[in-house]
Amino acid sequence: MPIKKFTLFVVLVLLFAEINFSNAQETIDNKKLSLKKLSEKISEADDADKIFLKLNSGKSKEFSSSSFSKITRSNGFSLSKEFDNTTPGKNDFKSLSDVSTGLSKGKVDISKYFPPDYKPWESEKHFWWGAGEGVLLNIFIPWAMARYGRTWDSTSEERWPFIGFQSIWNNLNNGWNYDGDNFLTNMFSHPFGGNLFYNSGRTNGMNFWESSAFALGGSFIWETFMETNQPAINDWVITGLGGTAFGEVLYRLSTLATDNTARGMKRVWTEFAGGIFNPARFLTRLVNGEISRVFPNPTWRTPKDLNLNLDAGTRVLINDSTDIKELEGIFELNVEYGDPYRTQHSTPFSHFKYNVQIASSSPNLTGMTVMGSLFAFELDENENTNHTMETSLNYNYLNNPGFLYGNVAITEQLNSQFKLNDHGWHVRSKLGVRLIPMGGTPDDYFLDSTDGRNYDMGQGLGAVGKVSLFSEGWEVFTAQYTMDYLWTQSEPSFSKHFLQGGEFSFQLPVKEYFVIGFAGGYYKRKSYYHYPSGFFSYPTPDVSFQTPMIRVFFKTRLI
Amino acid sequence: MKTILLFLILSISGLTYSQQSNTPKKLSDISKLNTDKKGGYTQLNDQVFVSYSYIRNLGKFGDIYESSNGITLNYGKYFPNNWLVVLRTGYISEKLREGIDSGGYSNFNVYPLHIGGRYYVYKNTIMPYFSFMNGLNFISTSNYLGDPEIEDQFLLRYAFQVGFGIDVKFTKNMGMNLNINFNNSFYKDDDIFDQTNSQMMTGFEYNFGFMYDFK
Repeated sequence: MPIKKFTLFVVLVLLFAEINFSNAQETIDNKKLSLKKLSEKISEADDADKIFLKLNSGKSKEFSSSSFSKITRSNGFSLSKEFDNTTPGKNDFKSLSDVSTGLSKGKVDISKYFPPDYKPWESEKHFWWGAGEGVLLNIFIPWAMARYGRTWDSTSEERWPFIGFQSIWNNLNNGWNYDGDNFLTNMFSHPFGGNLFYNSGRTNGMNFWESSAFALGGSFIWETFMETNQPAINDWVITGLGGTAFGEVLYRLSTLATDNTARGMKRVWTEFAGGIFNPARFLTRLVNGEISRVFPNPTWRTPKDLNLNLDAGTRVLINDSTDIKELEGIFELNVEYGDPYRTQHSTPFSHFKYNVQIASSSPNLTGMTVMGSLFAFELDENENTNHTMETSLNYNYLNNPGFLYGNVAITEQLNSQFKLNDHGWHVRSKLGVRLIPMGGTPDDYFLDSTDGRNYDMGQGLGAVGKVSLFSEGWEVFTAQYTMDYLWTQSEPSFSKHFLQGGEFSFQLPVKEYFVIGFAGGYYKRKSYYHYPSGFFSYPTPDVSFQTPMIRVFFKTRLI
Repeated sequence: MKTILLFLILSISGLTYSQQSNTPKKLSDISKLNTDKKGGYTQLNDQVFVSYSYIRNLGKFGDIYESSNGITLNYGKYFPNNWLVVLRTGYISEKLREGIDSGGYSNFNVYPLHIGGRYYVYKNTIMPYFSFMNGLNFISTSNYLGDPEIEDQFLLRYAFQVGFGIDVKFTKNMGMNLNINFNNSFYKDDDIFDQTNSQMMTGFEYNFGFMYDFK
C-alpha cells in the first residue's frame, strides 16, 4: 500500500511539526500521573486526535487504513476522531449515549466542546430556515443583483427582472415554454443554481428527497414569479433534477472536506474547502455557528470505498464536419464515492461517480458527468459473481469542438461482477436503459435567437453498456457505449436526434496509485429534419457526422 | 376568489374544531396514536380517495374554454414519515365559454393518468400538505365549431400540477380532502406559418373529496 504509507508519512511529519506536545509530553515524562489523568491531559491537548499516531508509533508498520480500523475496533482503544462508520445512512450522527460509550472505552472526550444535549443542526429538520436560505441565496440576491446591479436599457433589452403582479399573472396565464438561453447557461449554470436550492434544504436537515423538492420548488418559484419572461420548462427540469444530482455530490464532498472535530488553522482550512464545494452549506454553518463548533462528524462522512483521482493528458479530436483536428490538453477530476459492486446501498447517492473535464482550449469546461444511485438491490451474490439492479440519477454535460450534448436522465441498469481469480481480477459490466426528461443538442438549421440558443431540447430514451477488466482498484481495460434518441419539443420542433458515444481505454498501473493510459473513441450525431416546405432554408436534409477521439493520459490517485 | 376564501374559512374552522376537540390524552394513548412499529405516524396511511374537481381555466385556452368539471379516483401509498405517493386517473370535461361559436371543440374531454406525491407538513386530525403531480393527459376532442373540415383529435400531452391542501380525518379510516392546484398541460404548439402562439391548458383546480384510509 505505497500511497497510504506515503500519505501517512506526510501526515506524520506534518503532525509532529504542528502538534502541541506540551501537555502530552509532560504527562509521559511524569510517570506519577494516573491513567485517568493521562487521558485528561491528552484530551486537553490542542490536537488530541493526532497524538494517537505518536502513542501508537510502535505499530507504524500496521498503519494501513484497514489495519488501523481493525486496531480501533478490536482493542477499543482509540483516539480516532470519527465514530462508527459501519452503518452509513442509518444514523447520521452518533447519539450522546454512543459518545459516552466511546468515552468509557477510552475514546477522546470531544463532548466537552459541546453541551450535553447538543444535537447537530443537520440531524433535525429546519424547514423554514432552509426555505429562507433558498429564497435569500438563490432568489432574492440574484434577482436584486440583476435588477439593481446594472443599468437597463429600456428600449433594446428584455428587462426580465422588472417583475410585478401583472408579469406574475401573465406567467400563470400563459404557462410554460422552452427558452432561448445558450447551452452553457441552460445546461451548466442552471444545475449549479439548482444545487444551491437543494443544499438550502439538505444542510438544514432535509433528506435527499425532501431536498430535491427544494430544488424543484425553488426553480418553479423563480420561473413563475421572478422573471417577466414566460416560464421555461427546460430550466425547471434541468435546475430541479440537475441541481439535485449536482447538489448531493457537492454536499457529500463538502462534508468529506470539513472536519467537525478539527480546531485551529486546520479547522479554518477545512471549512474553507468545504465552502468552496458547497457555498450553501458554508452559509448554513456560518449562521448556526457550527462552522467553529467542535462536535462529532456524521458517521457516513468517509465512505468505505473512496477513489479520488486526477488525470492529465492530451486529446485529439477530429471534427468530421470541418475536418479540423483539435489537439488540446485535458485535465480531469474523477471521484468514485462508494463502489456499486461492493457498497451496500443505504441512501440515495451512497454510491456516485463525478467527473469534471477541463480543456486547455475553448470551451474550457468540456465535460461534466454525475451518476448517483437512487435505489439498488442485490439480485444475486455468491463467491464468484454478484448482480445488482440499480436506478440512478444522471447529469451529463459534453461540450467539445466536435460534439455538444447535455441531459438529465434516470437510468435503470444491471451491474454485474465476475471474479476471475484469487488475485483480485474481476470482470465488471453495466447494462441499462435510460429515460431522459430533458436533453439538448444542436440543430443544424436553427435561426440564432437573441439569447444565443442554437440547439434543440426535448425528451428522449437511451441505453448504456460498459464492460471492464478490474484489478487493484483500477479499470485496466474498459469498453463503453451510450446511445440516446431525442425528440425535439422546443420550437421549432421539426427534428429528432440520434446520439452515440463509444470509448475504449487501457490503463497500465505503474504504481498502485499511478497509471498511464490510452483511450480512443468517437461521438456521433445523426439528426433527422422534417421542416415544412415553407421554411426559410427548405429543403433541410438530414445531417450526420462523427468525431473520432484519441487520448493519452496519466492518472494519479489522491485518495 | 370566493372559492379560495371558502377554502381558507373551512381550513381555519377545521383547525379550530380540531384544537377544541382534542381532549387531554394519556401518554400511552398518544404513543399509540402517533407512532407505528417503524416509528412513523399512523394518521397517515395507504388510502384511496375520490375527488370532485372544478378547474378555472386561464390564458389563451381559458379564452375558449371557461372551466371544467370532473371526477378523479386516487390511490395513495404512504412512505414514512411524511410522504404519500399518489396515482390518479379520472374524467374531466371542458366547458366552452358562452358565445363561442368557432375556434374550439364542443366536446373536449381529458383523461388524466398522473403520478406524484404529497409532503405532509403536519399530521394529526388536520393534515396540511404540499403536492406535486405529473403525467399524461389523454385528450379526446370532437365537433370543431366553425370549421367542419377540422377533424376530431386524440392527443397525448404532458401535464403537471403543484398545489397544497389538507386532509381532515373524521374517524380512524374516513376523512375528507380539500386542495388547490395550479395546472399546466401542454396542448398546442406555436405555428410558425400561421403565426399563432402556443396554448397551454393552465388553470386553478379545486378538489373536494372523501378518502378511505387502509389502517
